[in-house]
Amino acid sequence: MSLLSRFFNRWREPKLSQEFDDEIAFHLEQRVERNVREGMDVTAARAEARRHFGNVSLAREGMRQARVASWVDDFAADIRYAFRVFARQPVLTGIAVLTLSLGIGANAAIYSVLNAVLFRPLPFPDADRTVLVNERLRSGGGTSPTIPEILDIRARSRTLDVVTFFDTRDAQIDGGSEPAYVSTTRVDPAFLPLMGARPALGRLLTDADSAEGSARVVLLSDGLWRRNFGSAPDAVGRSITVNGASHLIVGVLPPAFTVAFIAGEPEMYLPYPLVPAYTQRSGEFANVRRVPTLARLKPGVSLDAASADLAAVAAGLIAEHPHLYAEFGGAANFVIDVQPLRAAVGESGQRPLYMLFGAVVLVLLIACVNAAQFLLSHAIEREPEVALRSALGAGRARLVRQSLSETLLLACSAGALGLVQAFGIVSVLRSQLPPMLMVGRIDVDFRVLGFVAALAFGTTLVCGLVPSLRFSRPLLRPSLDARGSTTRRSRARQVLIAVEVALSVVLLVQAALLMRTVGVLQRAQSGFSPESVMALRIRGMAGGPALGTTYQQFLERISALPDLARAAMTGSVLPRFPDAPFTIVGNAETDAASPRQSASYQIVSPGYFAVLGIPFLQGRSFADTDTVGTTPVAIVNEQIARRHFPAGDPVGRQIRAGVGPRAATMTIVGVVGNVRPVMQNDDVSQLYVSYLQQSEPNMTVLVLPTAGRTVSLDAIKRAIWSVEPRQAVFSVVPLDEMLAQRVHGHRFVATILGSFAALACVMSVAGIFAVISYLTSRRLKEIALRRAIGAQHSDVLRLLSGQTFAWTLIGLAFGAGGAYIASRTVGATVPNVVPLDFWMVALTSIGYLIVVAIATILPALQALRVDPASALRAE
Amino acid sequence: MSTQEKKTRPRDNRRDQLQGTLDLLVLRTLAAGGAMHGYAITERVEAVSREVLRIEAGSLYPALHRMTEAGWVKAEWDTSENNRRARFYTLTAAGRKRLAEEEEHWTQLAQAVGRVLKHA
Repeated sequence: MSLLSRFFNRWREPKLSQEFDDEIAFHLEQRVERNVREGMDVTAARAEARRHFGNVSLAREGMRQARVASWVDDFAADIRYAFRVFARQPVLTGIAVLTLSLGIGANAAIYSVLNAVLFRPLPFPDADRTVLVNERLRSGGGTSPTIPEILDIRARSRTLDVVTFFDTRDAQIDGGSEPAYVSTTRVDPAFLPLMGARPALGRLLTDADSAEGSARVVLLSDGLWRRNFGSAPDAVGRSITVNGASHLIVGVLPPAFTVAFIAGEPEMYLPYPLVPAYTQRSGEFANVRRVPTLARLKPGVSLDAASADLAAVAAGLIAEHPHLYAEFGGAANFVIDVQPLRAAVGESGQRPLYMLFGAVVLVLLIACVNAAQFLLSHAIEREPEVALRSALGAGRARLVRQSLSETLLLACSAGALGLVQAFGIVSVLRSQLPPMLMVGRIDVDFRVLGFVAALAFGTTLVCGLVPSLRFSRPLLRPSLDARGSTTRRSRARQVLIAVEVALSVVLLVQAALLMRTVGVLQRAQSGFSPESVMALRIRGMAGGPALGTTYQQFLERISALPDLARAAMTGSVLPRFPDAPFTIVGNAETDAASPRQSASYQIVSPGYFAVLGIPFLQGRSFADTDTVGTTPVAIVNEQIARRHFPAGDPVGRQIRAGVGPRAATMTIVGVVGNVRPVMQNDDVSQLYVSYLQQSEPNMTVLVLPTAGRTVSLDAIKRAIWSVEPRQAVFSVVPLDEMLAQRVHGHRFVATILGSFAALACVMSVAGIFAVISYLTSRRLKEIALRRAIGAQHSDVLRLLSGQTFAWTLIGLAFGAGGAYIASRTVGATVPNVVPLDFWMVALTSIGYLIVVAIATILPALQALRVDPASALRAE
Repeated sequence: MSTQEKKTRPRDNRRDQLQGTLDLLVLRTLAAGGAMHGYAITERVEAVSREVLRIEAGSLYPALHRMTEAGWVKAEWDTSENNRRARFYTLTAAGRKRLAEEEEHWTQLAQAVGRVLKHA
């Protein structure tokens, strides 16, 4: 209370001052009156009263100090003074504020991403109790449960009060200008309520909607409702054609509802069909369809308790259905457990983000070093003045406080500027985010603001402490009579330079490392040539063998287009993760006893290899005659041929492969070159089957125009529509762009790290330049004297730049060492990072050294241009 | 808390003690006499102590203002016995509590000094 009133009294000072005077005057008058009463004459009475009172101004000052918080005034004066002092050195001040603000801005931006991806609560009720249910093998690896398992977990667990699941797929809707594809989520009825959904119109999905034989219904997202139904309030009750069948719209979700953190941004929600094919263990898809499963813990239940509960459920399942779990190694190896959804959502982004955060902290450190350098030269510049003030009675605390308020002014300006930059950086980052970081909207929110404030005060302490401490030593005469020698203190500055250099080199090398990794990964997708190939996705609408026939007709019509060299279709553009178990018929080594071997499994048309330029090593490609009725055939890659057919005779042998309904024994008709899947540095086993023998609705059409020509998308679409007018064509992208997209995460991290490294480089070089310029300007007289008595240009250069250069080399050495250590962290953080080699460090260091050399020599050269005579006459 | 106070305190223990005593004297005087102005306080202390204790006006007024800010006393402008405007101080509840503490402290101190004089 007292503190507040003392603070506000600062603005009532005139009134208070009058009161003090009145009070003192009254006291004096009383005394005078008493003296007069006792017989003194008025003059003597007055003199006695004054004597008796003591020092009036001391009393006034004492009263004032009791009533007014004087630091308010002192602080305001300090800030005004700091403004004037900084205004005298606009360029140096500008550099210091700008570097500090860039450091703070970059930190705030990365922190905003961190905040959104890792810290901010997910946007639905009870998110902290919501968990992801996983199946894990103690020997490594994990997956989602199957639907029969989920239903059992729901019935048996005692720690979960909601258990639900979903999956995502694309669905075709008709009725617009052309058939369109929208991302769709199929949901268990409990999913949307768990995510806190409330319908904006109509209702959510119910158990009855998922039951067998129920009417087809669909729930729309706000976006689809606006786009396709013009926000019609009567959309509920209308119909929409989804995958060729009419569905009744039962509800529309509000615009704010999102499940982007787990299920992408679905535009439609369909009820998950809870039919025996999915729900009974005897059902066709029941044991292969695995779906992301969410659950909510009962209040007060710990994660450990829930995991223990589910482990018991898992043990029961294994006991009841031993044949289904035999391949997982039984109860000793197979467990079901829970993971907090918040952690699961941020998991993939966590390590790269922490690494980027580490990098940006280094940038801030460099900025701090720069600011400290600036404040140090500022402090030295002001030494005579400080000595004078100290001699006139300024307290030490007062001087330190003034120096700190200057730093505070610097840091607050930098913080404000940094915040503005953070907004800019965040808006750029937002559009560039790789999928692993798309958890929530990246925003500069109050938490980020708090972070910036903390940074500004933190940097004040760090940068301000060094120069402030100088005042805690008594400094009097030497500073007053001489412009103290600069070399005495330049040691500290040189060490700071070395620190800056070391930090910059660490960042530069890591950036170089990641950029090389991106290059290597992109090249590593080897074995085919993606140039000028265009990819279009379709989802076939016919069922069974008719599907293959339709595909064949698509390819015939497309191939007939002018300027088109080749066209092909494939289930997946590139080899997928090798997950299809296979055995070679007649090979002893691949018995049930030997470890499972898996191949990547792709369904392709005969022309696939030619479009992508994948070479045939043996045998033939598929033919139009390889259809459902004829012998099943397969093509293997070099890897399988080499490993499983050492005699070199794969063609004509048989291979058994595929899961569930796709399982088949096929005759090998050809061997092709290896194609590496994305983000893999090793070759894998690959198996290709014909699109006429295995039907797959989700296909990609690959189109290769004649060299130097282009084929219009419209022409391709028209060719497809001439076969099937309702066929939707979507996700049209050049293949090389699609491939680049796959290393997007790496490229994103590499680009940001590269920008930080560049920033660090610019900052450190600017800092070094500023220091050298300053030191040089202080020694102009000395240089002139040396030159007057015969020093050569080279001597002066050595004098001015030699020491800094030596310290730069020391910093480089430390930086190179640090880079080796840091590269291990980066390697552990980002998969597939190439190892750090000597040349990468050497080239980076040399490049950096050249820039630093220019920054150190330029100011020295400038000093040499000053005429010695005039420099000596100055002052 | 001003710098000046902070700076001088560790050096000047004697003044610190006196200041403590000053608070005690002022609070006690106000407790006995109701609303009083500064001059009356000095007169009263001198009279009661038979001129042994003399309160410096230069210390009294800062102390009164400090105690006002601390909430121990309340100050009001009013008319004095000879019809002049004067600033009158009265003890508050917090001031009464403080006075009890100060008295307790002083008694202990006096007893301790007494014991030392007697037995040491």
